[in-house]
Amino acid sequence: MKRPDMGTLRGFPNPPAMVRRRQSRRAPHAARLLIAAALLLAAPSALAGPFDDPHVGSLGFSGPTTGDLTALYWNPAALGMLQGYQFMFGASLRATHVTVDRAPIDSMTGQPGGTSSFPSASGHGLEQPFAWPPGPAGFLGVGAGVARRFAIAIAAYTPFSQKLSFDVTTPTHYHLVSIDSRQLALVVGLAIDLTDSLRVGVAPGLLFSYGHVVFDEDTALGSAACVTSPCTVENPNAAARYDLATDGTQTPSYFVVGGIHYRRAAWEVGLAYASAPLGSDGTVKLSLERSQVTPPPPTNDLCSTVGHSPCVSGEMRYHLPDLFTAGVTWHATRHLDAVGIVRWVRYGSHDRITIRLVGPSGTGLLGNNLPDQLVLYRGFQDSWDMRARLVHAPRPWFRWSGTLRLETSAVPEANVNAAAVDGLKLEPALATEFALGRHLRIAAGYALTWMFPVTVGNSTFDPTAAAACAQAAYDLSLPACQTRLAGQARPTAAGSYKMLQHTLALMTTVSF
Amino acid sequence: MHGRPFTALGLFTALVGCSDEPAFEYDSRPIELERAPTAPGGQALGATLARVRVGSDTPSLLIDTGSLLSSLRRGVCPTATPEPVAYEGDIQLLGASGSTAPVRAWFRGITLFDLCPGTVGDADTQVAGVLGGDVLRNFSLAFVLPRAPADPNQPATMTIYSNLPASDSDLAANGYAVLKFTLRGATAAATASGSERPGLPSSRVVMRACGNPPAFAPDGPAQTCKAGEVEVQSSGSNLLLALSTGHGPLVLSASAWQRMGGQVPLPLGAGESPLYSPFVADPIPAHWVTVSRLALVDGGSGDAWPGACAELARGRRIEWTLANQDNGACFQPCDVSGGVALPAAAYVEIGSDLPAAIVSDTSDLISNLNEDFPSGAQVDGVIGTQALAGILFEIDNVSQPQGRLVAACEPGADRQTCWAAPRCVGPSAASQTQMCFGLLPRGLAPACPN
Repeated sequence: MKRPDMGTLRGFPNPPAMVRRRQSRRAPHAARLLIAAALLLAAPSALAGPFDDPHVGSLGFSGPTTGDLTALYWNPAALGMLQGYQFMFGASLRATHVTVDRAPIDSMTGQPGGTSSFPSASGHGLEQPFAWPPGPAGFLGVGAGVARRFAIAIAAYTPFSQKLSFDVTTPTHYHLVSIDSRQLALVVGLAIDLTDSLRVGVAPGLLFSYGHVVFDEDTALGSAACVTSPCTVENPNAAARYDLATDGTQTPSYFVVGGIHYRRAAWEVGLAYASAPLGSDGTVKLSLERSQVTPPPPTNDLCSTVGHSPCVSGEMRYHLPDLFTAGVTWHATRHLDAVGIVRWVRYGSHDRITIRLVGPSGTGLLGNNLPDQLVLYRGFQDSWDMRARLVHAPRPWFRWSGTLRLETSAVPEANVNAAAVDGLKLEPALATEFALGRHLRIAAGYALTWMFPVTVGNSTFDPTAAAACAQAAYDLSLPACQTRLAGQARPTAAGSYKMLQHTLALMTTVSF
Repeated sequence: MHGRPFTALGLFTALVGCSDEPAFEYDSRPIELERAPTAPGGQALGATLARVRVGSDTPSLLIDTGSLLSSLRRGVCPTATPEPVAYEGDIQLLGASGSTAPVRAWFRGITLFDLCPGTVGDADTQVAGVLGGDVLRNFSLAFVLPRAPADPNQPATMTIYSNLPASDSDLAANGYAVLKFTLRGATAAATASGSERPGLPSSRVVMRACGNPPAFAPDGPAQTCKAGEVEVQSSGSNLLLALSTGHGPLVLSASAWQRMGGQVPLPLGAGESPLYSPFVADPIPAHWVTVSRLALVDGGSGDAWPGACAELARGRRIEWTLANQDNGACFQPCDVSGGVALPAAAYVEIGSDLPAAIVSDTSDLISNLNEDFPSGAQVDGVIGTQALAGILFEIDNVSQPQGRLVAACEPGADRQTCWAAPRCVGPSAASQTQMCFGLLPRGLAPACPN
């Protein structure tokens, strides 16, 4: 069977607006486009969330109906549109700025509503791919169409990452001082053309994880010494610092992306599913081989008894979400495409991070009143990412796109804290692509992500639960101990949260 | 016509059935435990006890890593001993914290046997049930068993963890002796008296040990050992012991005690207190002795393994060499291969004068310990909680492919009472220093001429 002609035009093997020139000659109707865009945006919105990268591949052009190597992430079936050989290399620069204004607390209970106030805290994160272990926000792929019915490809990208650092004396330190988390995916994909219009694709992959997180533990909360006498809450002299890190990337886990792609007349539809890590109920396990725990003064260095540092090791476990993606492209004219993309990120599984640590022999961690088992509550919810995009190609060698993306929060308002800042987000993005000769294309894009400010009044974090649970001898039948068990017996995170993110992306595509 | 709805209903039922997995709830904080007497009239330093909610009562629950099954009686104990019936039930484990009995862990949907365990420690300490190895093997369990009874500031505790996520080498570097163990005791499912008895997984921790090794001090006299003499130069008796927190004293078979040079009076246990074991319903005649010293030693069971006592002797010789290296000490020829010292196995040495109960080889207790593997290596007895007092240990049942006992001594313990030696590996190409046995880093010691 002859592979359908996808309409190469002067170095653009598959630009959405240009390849289907013979499929639809209807003039664009501005009102229809606006209505379509409005309908898209009115639906429950968006994905991404605190550690999802919504711009894997080319910012402004990639999606579930895009027939290039980024299909290995978005929809492997769309890889079937690949013709000849292709190489793609992309790099993004993503700068995140978070502002946290904690609500004043009562100095005796730690609950919001008192007179102990905090200075504003600013967190920054700059993600770029040129790092080791391989950094986020990059894309590297190579592939080819084979025998007019198949396409194979391999790519590396980072579907999940989070990087944010606050000042070491930040008021957010009981939830986060800094975090650098990366999931690097190495994926091999195969797409098959079942018919002229229907393709399927699958892309199994390895997920290499890396993590480094720093936070403080309030050792006075619920400690034995505080059961019979009140302790000052959030006392810096009772804060133990947990600096937990993997030693490079970890033994990979497995995941798979699969999808279908359907084309009829001027319409293309793509549906895809990306699994969570397989065989482990979606759980990622990180060995914390380069970890340090610094007790509050006056306790000496934990490692002094064994004469080497680091002397703490352990493991961190959390769930990664699986992901459904759907996309529609309408080739409205020879020069204009309208694209709608919806992603459903099943963040609901990311409920907590559990950490087990093993300290040196002797008094160790527990002997110094330092917990060796910690639960960091997350309580995420599924999020929806919806974006509407127009792609205009006024010249054969040039196209540009405008995208408006709306994304619902992955974190319920009560669960927001410095380690999990999220809310409803709006993101306009512009991108452009030039063909330089017959084989080379350069794309560049910029997106500004603005989160509607989140004000946390009733924080799920309740510091009084720790003391109440301790006074009840840790009776698990009591709500306070269930709160503690879930990792919510921590200093409150009430306050207001703002986030702004700039993303600048470059993508180079070489086709033969 | 109605097939499709019924098929759907069946599928739904099957899916619901699939969710009937046991569920566990715990908080990885120490759970305070009580202790049974070690023997009739003895101190409360024996088997570990929690409490369990049964209706409005909170009777004692034995925590026993050596028991193959968990049980909780329903109703009063019958005078006769019927075939035990298994059922699916819950154990709500209550801690022993002063006058309160807080809920400290929940084990839901687990297989329990409806039977009445024997008394524990003495005739008066009756328990309503046992939380045994079949459930405990799902966890890594950390125990703190103080030497002195009834110290409210230092209670006996058990902490339940989901795992112990540290490598053997990291644990050794941080001062822990890591002793691998095998689980024993699997029994097949059976039908008895018309009722199904579920099979039981291997869950009994069995350790290799050296009984009554001689005393050692690194500033003592040197021990020589020519090439090939590693087994000849060992002292003490090799033992295979089950680790049971449901027993107080060290329990040894009469034949094991005789191998250690002890005498067994006949009839055994005449005029002495019997041993009350949760494994058997009736008291066991026992002869009470003291064992000067016991070392639990990491090691395998292959033909090349020289045995626990030989490994212990080698570890001591290597330690002596490192400690006396500045005075010209060298590694003994039997401890060297290719010019460098062989690795010294991890061990935990416990002393001194450990109370032990000597029981007949044909007693129900020893038979029970070997029931699953009668033709293999014979289990010689039980290490109880009294023998483990003063050791901070964690039974890592979750580690693959073998479980691990990870142990360290209480801070400040003197060497003759407790000594935990992590595995000592010789200098490598990457590092020409050797840091073992709590000594300062050492360079490469020479091998002695043969």
